[in-house]
Amino acid sequence: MPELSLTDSIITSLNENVKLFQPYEVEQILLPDNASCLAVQAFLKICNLPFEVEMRWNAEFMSPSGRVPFIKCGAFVVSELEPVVQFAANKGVTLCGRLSTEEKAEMRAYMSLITNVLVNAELYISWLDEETFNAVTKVRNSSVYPWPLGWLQTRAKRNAVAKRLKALNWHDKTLEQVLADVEQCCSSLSQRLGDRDYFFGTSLCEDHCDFMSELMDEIIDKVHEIANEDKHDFEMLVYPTENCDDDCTRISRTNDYLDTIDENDDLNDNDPSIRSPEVRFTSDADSDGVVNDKLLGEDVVVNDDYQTVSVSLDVTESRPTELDALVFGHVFTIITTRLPCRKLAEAVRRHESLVSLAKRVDEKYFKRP
Amino acid sequence: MGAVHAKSADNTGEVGGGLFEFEEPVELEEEPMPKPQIKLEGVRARVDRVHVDGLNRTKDDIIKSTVNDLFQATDFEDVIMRAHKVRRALDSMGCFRDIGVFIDVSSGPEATPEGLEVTFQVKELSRVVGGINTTVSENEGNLVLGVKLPNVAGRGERIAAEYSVGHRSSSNFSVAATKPFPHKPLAPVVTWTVYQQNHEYPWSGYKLLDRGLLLDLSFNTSAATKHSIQWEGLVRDTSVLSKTTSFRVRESSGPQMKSVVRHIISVDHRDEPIFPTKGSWVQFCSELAGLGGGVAHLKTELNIQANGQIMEDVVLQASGSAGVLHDVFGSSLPDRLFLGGPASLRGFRQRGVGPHCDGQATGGNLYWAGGVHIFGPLPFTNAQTGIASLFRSHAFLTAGCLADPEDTTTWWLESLCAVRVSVGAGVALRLGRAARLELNYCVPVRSLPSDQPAAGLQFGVAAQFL
Repeated sequence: MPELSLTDSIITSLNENVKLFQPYEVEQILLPDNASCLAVQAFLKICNLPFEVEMRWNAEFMSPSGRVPFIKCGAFVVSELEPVVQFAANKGVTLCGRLSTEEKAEMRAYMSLITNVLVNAELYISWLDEETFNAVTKVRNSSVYPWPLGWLQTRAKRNAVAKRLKALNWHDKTLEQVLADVEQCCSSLSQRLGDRDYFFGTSLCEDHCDFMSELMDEIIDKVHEIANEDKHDFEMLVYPTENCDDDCTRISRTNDYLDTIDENDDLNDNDPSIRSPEVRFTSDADSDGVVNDKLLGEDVVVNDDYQTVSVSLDVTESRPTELDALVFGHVFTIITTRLPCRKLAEAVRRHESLVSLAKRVDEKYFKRP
Repeated sequence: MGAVHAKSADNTGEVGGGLFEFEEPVELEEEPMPKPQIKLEGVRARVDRVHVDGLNRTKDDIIKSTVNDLFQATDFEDVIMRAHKVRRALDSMGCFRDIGVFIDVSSGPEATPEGLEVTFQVKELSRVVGGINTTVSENEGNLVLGVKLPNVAGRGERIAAEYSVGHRSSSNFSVAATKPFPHKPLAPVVTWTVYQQNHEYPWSGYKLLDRGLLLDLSFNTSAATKHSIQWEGLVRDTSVLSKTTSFRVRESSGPQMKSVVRHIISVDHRDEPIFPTKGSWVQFCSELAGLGGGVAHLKTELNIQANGQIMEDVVLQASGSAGVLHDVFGSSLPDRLFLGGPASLRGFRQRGVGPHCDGQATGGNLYWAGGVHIFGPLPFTNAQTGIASLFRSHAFLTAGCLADPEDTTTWWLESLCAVRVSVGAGVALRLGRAARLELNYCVPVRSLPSDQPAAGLQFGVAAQFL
């Protein structure tokens, strides 16, 4: 279960406080940097890793890769989203653990699509669009330096960005071409997203919740039914939360054998129409993941080792991955940043599913106290 | 009547500076004056005419004002003395390579009975002098290309450019333009320098890329007292050396602009800069940063040295240094004061005294250090001649302390009393007149847990030693 390993790793290996370093949000940070900072923040929040944000004027220069943001965890300094994801995975925290290899590959592909299109478009708008450069980028980038260092730094950075975009054949594009690329990128993203909550996982909308709640009750009833039969000498305690909350997760007091439900049932099927509340309990352990009922039977109630875990039922689950964090970072930044050139924001705003994804992540992970 | 022919050393044609070029300057003082066989001061003489042969692009006005002094001579000895002085003045202009002086009785219709003619034969330096050399510093080898345009506008002005490439692809350059004003009061020399320099400080885990402009006004208020007033504006790019650099050092990376006004005064009464036998030397450098730029501080450093001969060939030297840094805002790691190493407090690693973070020195804002040396000739050899005259053996005791600004638990006076002591002995070698090289066996006698003592053999090259 991803939650379990996650909770463990927070306690064991990531207990040193994580600090995220980024430029000053109010007066300094630029659109592309803000997008990547927000993406990393979203990733950490989705992972439920506590972190502190520290703003430094020289965050860019402190970073080992020269790009923001970077996190400091004990003696480790890791910069940018993908290395951070890798770092968290090494520590046992992963958001894509339940994805199949193909899905993972797909996710990588979409992530690199964003890096190749949205990031370049942001750089283009910030540094090569004269209006935005003069009104916003120049002012903000040089705000932390004394004159004439600010001018020198801005010029040097603009040259570096131009060089990068030239190498990627973006330098000579017109704004319309850039917007067309963005449009294409956004439509393939929103196509992939469809009407789901998040990129990977089953389709789930608010109106499915009631159905899921009923389904859950049925499962519990069934479990009780099975458990009460004499031949099954084990007992399961499931305390569903009062309501099916937005994220359709339930805090249950249970033991490890719910794993067996996850692993052995057919409920992972994507098509809700064939979902069945039928839970096949095998009282004889026939696979590694299945716990022998005889062991459980004796002290299932009084066992203090039972852990309170947030069980997300895979049937109802659609959990965000790092791709969602990345899309959120970029889309949210683009649509909320006021630039003289509104065209980029408008192009992204047209894709309502992406916008609502950004809103969802914002409300769920950033607005909660 | 004899002719005084002063030979001159060919030193001005070379290019480049730096630590590893130790050409001997012209030793005019030590040149034996020809013993007069007849009493010269009684012989009345006046200079009728002065010829300067070999002038090409050097302007007449500065030559005229230089040789004017000769016409004041009243007797023959005076003429010789003044001719000698003029020769030195011409030499110090840095325009000529060979200067010969010929004195003869004057002839021709306007000759007076006691009249003399003085002829200076000079050879101007060529317009462009170039050179290539290699240097080896602590961390890398460099190829240095230098170009010098001596006497570029005919009045002793010179432009020197130097470009060096390191094998680790760091490049340094400097272009300096110098304009002397030999006939103004105090003989000021103005120098403008534009430079880019890379420095690595592995002991502190950072490297610097400095790009700046230096304006220097040097003048002498007496023969021994030299002043230098400088303004330096630079952009300093600090970056970490490796991925394992401590976070404390990482925090100070990034570009900073600094504008510094500096005054350096040095009073040198020593008979020789590297292995003096008598006299004292004081250098006081005060620095005010913050007139523009993002760094503001006040920094003062003092270096003193006193020498005395206690026996024949045995010199006792006492030296001391102290420094204070008062940070107003923005001062980061490179501005801090450091102590320790083979050229300062021996028996410790370079920058090995004071606070460290993950083995990297983070510096302090107050220090003092002192040392006592006994220099003697190399044992078992005739030290007066040959290569052995370049060597000295010495025994020393050095002590010092660096106060930690972060350490608020101890009062600064208390932390200044936490003295570190080391003793040792070794051999020192004079490299030209610019630097010396030392190989010592050191024993740190007292150190603190935060220090990094280095007992055993220690090797150092520097222009200035404690």
